[in-house]
This record gives sequence, C-alpha cells and structure tokens, in this order.
Amino acid sequence: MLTPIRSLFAAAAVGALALLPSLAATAPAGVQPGDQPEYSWRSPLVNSMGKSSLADLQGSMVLVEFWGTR
Amino acid sequence: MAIKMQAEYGDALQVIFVESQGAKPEAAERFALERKWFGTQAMWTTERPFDSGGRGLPAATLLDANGAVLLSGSSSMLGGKIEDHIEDFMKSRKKFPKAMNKDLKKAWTFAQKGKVADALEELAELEAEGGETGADASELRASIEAKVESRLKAITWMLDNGYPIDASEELEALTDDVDEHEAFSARCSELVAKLEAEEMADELKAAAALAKLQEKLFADGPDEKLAKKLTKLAGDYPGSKVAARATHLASLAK
Repeated sequence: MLTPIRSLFAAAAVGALALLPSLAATAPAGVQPGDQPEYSWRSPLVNSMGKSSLADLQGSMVLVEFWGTR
Repeated sequence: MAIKMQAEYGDALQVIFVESQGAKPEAAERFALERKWFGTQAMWTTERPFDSGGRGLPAATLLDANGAVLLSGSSSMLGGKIEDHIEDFMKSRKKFPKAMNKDLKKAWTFAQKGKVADALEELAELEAEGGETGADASELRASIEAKVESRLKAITWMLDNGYPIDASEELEALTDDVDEHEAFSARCSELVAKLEAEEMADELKAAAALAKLQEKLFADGPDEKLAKKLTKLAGDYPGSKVAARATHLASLAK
C-alpha cells in the first residue's frame, strides 16, 4: 500500500502524464505555414555575397535545407 | 535536388544549406567540397535560423518571396510540393499581382523592366494624390527602394571582401536599372570610383586568377596541388582581400 506522500506523488505523475498529449497538440513543433521567421546570421554564410538575414533574401523564394555531415 | 533547383532557377530561388549535426563550419565546408556540391549560388552555414519541425534529417522549409513559410518538415514528406510551389512562383512573378491596386500597374511594370527611375517617378505622382492609392504607392515605393538599397549593400560587401569581379558585374546592372535617378545614380558612381581606385587593380587581377582555381576546386574537389597553387596566389597578392579568400580555400583543398 502507498504512503500518503507516495500517493500524492503518484497522483501528480498521473496528472502530468495526462497533460502531455494536450501539450504536444498545442505546442507547435518548429515553424508553421504562414509564419514569418526573422533571423540574422551571426557569422557570414558561405557564398552569401553580403546577405546576412532572411529579410535580405525577400523577393526570391527561399529553400532552407537542413542536412547533416554524419 | 536543391542544388539542381538552385542551378535551374537562379536568382528566383535562394537556397540555404544548414548543417544541423553540430559540425564546425570548416568541416561542413570541406564535406560539401568533397562531394562537389559547391559551384552554384547556394549558401552554406552551420547556424540554424529556425526549427523546421521535421523529424530527423534531411528536412526543409520553403519561404515565399515575402519571407512567409509555405511548407516545412521532413524532406521525404514534402516531396514534389516544393517544386510545385516554385513552378507556380516562376509563372506568377512576371504577372501583375491580382491583390495589388490596379493604379500601380504602370509603376510596377516599370520596376519589373528594371526602370527604377521611371517607377519611382510614377509612384511619387500617385503618392501626391493621397488616399488609398497614395498609401499603396508609398508602400510599393518603399519596397522598390529597399531592393535597390539591398543591392547597393551587397555590392559594397563584395568590394570590401575580395569579390571585385562579382561587384563589377552587379554594379553595371544596377547602374543601368537606376539610370536617371539622381540619388541612386550618385551612390552607384561612388561605388564605381571605389572599383576603379588604384588599390583595387591588384584585387581584380587576383580575383581573376582565383576564379580559375576556384572553378577547378569546385569541379574536382580537394587536391594538394591545387592547394599549393592557391597558397602561391595568396603569396603573390599579400594583404589583399582575395589573398584571404585564397588562403581559406587552400586550407579546405588540402
């Protein structure tokens, strides 16, 4: 049988687990269609020719490709 | 695929590759160089501008010409949707936008043809009329001026960072576009003077020599002999901006 304190922790844990699906549903993971992200790079991009922010690229479509070296 | 699209669509599409596994910038550059991925206008960085929301790599985000997200997520999930959006943009970019005030069509058409002075003169007249059209004209004027400012900023950067040949080509195009616009023409003249200054002569010679070596490096990948030639080039033009670029490329080519 659980002690009162353990029961309290167990109830809190169950409550937190119950909340997780709703949190996952409401917290957007990354940018969403319609968002207008803003960013200025701290270090120059290779081949950027002086462009240093997303705002500098407006007028063209921009494809950002996330890749890895491993 | 993105590299091919960059080569195909040119200025209409800007491609940014973001190494997202924590590689150091030089390691990421060398990795791309070994795979012969350089040689287009695509940009490269190890700094993530935002979270794509995609699970795993590769992932991608497509922004429209105003910087708004159209698509984002795992590349495998996006499939041909990216190309569909780009094709739509390519078709629509030369057509007068349906949502735009029709009174602006003349000015918009001037701007599309690169006649910046004519476009701004037309917009100034519409602005003077006031009202809704005046406000819309003001917004379009600001957008055209911002694009010119952005091009001036890019040319200045190229001149200051060892890309005088690229600067010269872009400056020639911009000078033509802003012809008869007093203020912008004066700004272009200042940059022409900078480009034609005595101290820029060596930078231009060095840049021409570097362009040949860089083309070979991007086509063939890292090569010890090429690294030596790049190091020699840097030594031939000590203290120049182009020498700094050559030294960096030599370090990647070894």
